[in-house]
Amino acid sequence: MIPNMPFRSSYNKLILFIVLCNINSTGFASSCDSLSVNGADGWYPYFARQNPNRLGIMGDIVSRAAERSGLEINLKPSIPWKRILFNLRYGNLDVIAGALKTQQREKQFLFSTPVHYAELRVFVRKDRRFDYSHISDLKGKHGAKVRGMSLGQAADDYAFNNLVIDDAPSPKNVFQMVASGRLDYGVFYWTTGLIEVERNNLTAIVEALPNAVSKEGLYIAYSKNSHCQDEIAQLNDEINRMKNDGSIEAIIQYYHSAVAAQEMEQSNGR
Amino acid sequence: MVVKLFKCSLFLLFFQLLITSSVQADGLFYGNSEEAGGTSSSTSSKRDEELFSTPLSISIITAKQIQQAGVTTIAEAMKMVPGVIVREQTNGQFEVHIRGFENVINGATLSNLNSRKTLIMIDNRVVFDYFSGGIFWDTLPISIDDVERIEVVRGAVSSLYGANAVTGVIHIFTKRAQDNSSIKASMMAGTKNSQVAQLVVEKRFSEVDIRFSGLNEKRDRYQNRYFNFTEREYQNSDLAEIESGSNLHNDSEQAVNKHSFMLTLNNDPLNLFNYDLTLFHQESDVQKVHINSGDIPLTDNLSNTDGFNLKLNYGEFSSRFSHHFGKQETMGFPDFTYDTEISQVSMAYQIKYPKWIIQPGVDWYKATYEGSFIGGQRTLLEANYMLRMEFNPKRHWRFISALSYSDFNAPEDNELNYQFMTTYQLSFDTSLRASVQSSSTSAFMVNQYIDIEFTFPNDPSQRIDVKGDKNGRLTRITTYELGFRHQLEFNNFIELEVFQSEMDQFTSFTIQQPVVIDGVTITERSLENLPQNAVQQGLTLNWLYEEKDWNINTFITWQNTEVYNQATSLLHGSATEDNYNKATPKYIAGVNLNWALTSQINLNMLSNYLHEHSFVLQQPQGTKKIPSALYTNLTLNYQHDEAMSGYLAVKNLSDQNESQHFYTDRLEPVYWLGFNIKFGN
Repeated sequence: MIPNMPFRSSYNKLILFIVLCNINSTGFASSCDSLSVNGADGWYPYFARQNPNRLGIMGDIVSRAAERSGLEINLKPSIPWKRILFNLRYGNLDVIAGALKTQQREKQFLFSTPVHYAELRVFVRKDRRFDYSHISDLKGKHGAKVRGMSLGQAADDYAFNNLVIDDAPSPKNVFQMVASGRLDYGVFYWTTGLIEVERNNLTAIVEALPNAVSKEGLYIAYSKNSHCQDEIAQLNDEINRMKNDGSIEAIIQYYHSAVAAQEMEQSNGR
Repeated sequence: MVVKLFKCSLFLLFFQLLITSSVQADGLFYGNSEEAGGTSSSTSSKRDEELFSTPLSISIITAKQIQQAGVTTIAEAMKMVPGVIVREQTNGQFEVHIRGFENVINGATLSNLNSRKTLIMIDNRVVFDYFSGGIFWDTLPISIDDVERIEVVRGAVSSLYGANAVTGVIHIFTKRAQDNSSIKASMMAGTKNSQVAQLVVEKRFSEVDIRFSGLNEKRDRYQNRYFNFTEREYQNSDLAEIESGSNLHNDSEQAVNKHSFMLTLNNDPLNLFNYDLTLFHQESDVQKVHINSGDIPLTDNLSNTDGFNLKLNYGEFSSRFSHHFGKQETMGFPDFTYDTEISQVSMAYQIKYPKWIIQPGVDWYKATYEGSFIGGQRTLLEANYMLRMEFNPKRHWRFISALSYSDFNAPEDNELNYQFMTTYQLSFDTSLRASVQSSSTSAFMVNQYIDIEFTFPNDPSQRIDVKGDKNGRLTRITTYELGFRHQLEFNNFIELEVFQSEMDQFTSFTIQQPVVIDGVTITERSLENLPQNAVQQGLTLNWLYEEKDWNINTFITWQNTEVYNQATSLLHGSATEDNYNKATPKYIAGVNLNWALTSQINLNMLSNYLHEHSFVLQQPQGTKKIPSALYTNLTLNYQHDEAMSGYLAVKNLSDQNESQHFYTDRLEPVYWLGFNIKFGN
C-alpha cells in the first residue's frame, strides 16, 4: 500500500538525483591526451623513477611501447601501492608498469601477457650454504617466505607436502631471520632480494644460491575504467610486438647486466 | 513513514557527499580492510598468522586506529571491537564484557556485575585479578600511548592461556623503541578537569632498544552526587557518605588519579636469541564499582603495583617469567585491604613438520594474597599443561586441537580445557571455520577463602558470617562457533560469526536461615553450587569498507541468553525457574568512520549502541533498567608534520543522559584537546 503518492513521487526524484550524482565522473570522460603510468617503489630493477630515461624493466617496456605507438605517457608521482591500485580501479590511472597477476586483481584490472619473469631464489647464510639444484634439496630444512607469496604452482604443491616454510610478514623479517640463524633459508625474488639484503646491511652474511626455485610472471596492468581504452589496446599490441621482435629481451638484458655490474662493484668493496 | 523516508534520503545524500568529497580529496591513505585480512595476529594460535586465516573470532585494534579515534583509555578502545560491551561507570573508568553473560545469578551483589570471565594480558603477562575474579583496568601500568595493538579473541581459549579465558581474551601488545633517540611529550586536557600527560623516551643502541614511558592522569567524575540505594535517588556526596556510615572516598569529585611508568629493554626480536624485559610501577586512586557497599555504587580504591615481565626466546623455544606485587585498598572496607604477589612462568616450544605444527607448553601461576578477609595469607596455584596441534590434510584445509590440563591447589578437582577447530579456505577470498571450545574459571580468593564475621556497629545483636569454600567448583563454558570471512573486493571485507555458548557450574554466596546464639542473630552466607545453567545464541556481523580517503567499520551483534533453573533469590533452598537474561543487551552495535579530509586533517566518528537491558540485584540495590542508547565520539586530528600533531574531540554525544552501569554517574559530553610533540628521530 502506498500511503502518500505525492511524497513518494518527490522521494523518487530525490533518489534519482542522488543516483545520477553518484555516477562516476569517468562516465563523462574527456578525450585521452596521454596515458597515466605508475609503478611500485622499491622494486628495482623492475620499476624505478630516479632517472626519467631509465624506469626499470617494466617501466622501460611501457615507455618504449608508448614511444613506438606515438602515445604520450604521464609518469605519476610516487604514492603508496594500495593507492595505485585504487587509482587504476577507478580510472584515475591507466597503466601500472609491473604487477603480479592474482585472481582478485583479474576481477578488477586488465593484464598484458607476461612480459618478464621474476626468479625466486634461495637465500642462505654464507657460512651455512648448501647445494641446491632442485626444490627437494630443501627437504629437512626450515625456511620462510613472505606471507601470500606463491612459489609457483608446482613448487607450492611440493612445498606443502614436503617442506617446512614459515610465512613472514615482510622480506626484512625473512632476511634477518636467515642472518641470525633462526632459519636455514629464505625464498624471495632474486634481484629484489639482493637489494633488500644490501639495504639491511646483510651483504656480508646472506647470499642467494645459484639455481632458481621458480619463475613468476610479471605483467602490465591496465584500468578497466580508463577513458583511454583505445590507447591501452594500442599500447598492449605494441608490447606484444616488442616481445616478438626482441626489444623487451634487450631491455631485460640491459638491466640484468647493470645489476650484475652493480653486484661486481659491491663485491669489489664499494 | 515520511520521517523515516526523509532520514533515509538524508543518509543517502550524506553518503553521496562523502563519496564525492573523498574522490576530490588527495591525501595519502593507508588502507584498513586489506590490512584487516593481511594483518598478523599471534593470540589466536600462539604464533604469527594472517588474520584472514585465524581459526577463532578475533579483532585487532591498532595504535593508528586508537589515535584516529582520540581514545584515551584501553577500555574505551574496546568500543571499536565487535561483540564487546563497554560501559562507563564514571569519567575514564570502564567495565568491559565480551558477549555478555551478565547478571546471570539472580539477586547477586553489585560486584557480580563486574566482568569475571575475560582474561586480560599485557605482552603475554596475565593481569587478571584473583580477588573475586576480573580486571582492574585502573591498575594497568600502561597508558593508551603505550599500546601497539590490541588483539581481542571472542571465545573460550583456556586451552591456550589457562583459566579465566571463558568468554575471550583481550591481549594488549605494547610498543618498543622505534627511534634511534627521541623524546615525545603528549598532553591531553578535557572538561571535567581531565588531564593526561605522557612522556616517552626512546634510545636505540647497537644491540639494545630502550623505551621509557611515564603517565600522569587525573579526571573528575561527571557528577559528585551518589545514588543512595535505600532512598532510591542521587544525593549529594556528604549525605550519601553519612547514610553509609563509612568514609568511602578521599575526594568525592575525583574519578581517577593515577601515575605509572614502564621501562622496556629488548634486542631485535628476529634474533635467534632474543630477550624482552619490562619493569613497571603504578599508583592509582579511582572510584569504581568494586566491593559491594550496599549503600552507594562507587567506592574509592587505592592501589599500587610494581613488577617485571621477562621474555627469553631461543629459536622455536619461548619462555616468560613475571612477578608483580602491590597493595589494594577499598575505603570504608578495612577487612578488604590486602597485599598481593603474583608470579607467572610460561614455557612453550614449536615443532614443525610438513603439514604439522605441534606446540607443547606449560604455564605456572602463583597468586598470594594477604588480608584479614581471608584470615591471613592464602595462595592459589595453577599449573597448565598444554598441547596444541595443527594438521593440514590439504593446502586449504586445517584441523586444530588444543588441550590444556589445569591443575589447581583449590579446588582439588582439575579441569580439562579444549578447542577442536577446522578452517577451510573455500577460495582465495573466502574462508570458513568451525570450532567447539571449552574453558573454565580459576579459583578466586573470595570464593575459596573468605572467612569474615561482621557485626553491625549500630546493632551488635546482628552478625553476618561469610564463608568461602576451598573446593567450590569452577564455572565452565562450552562454545560452538561457525565463522565466515569474505573479501568482496580488496577494499571490502565482511565477516560473520554464529555462536552458541553454554555456561554452567555457577556458584554464589547463598543466605542461610539465621540462627540465634547468645542473643546474637547470625546470618551466614556461604558459597554454594547453583543448579542453573545459561545458554546463549548469537551472531556477529562485521563489515569493513574503505575508499581512498575514508573507511568505515560497522558491526552488530545479536544475542539471546536464557537461564535455566535460575534460583529466584539467593536464599538457601529457593525455588528455581527458567528466565530470559535481560542483563546482556540483545543488540550491540558500532560504527567507526574515518575520513582523511586532507593529508593533514582526519575526522573520526566512533558510535556505539547498546540495546535496552536491565540488572536485578539483591535488596536494597534492587533493579536498574538501562534504556537503549547510542553514544558518539567525534575526533578531529591534525598532523602538522612528523614531529607535531594534535586533536580535538567531543565524546559521549547522545540523546540519553543516563548511567550505563548500576546507578553510577550519568554520562555527560566531554571535550578533549590533545597535543603531541616529538624531538629526535
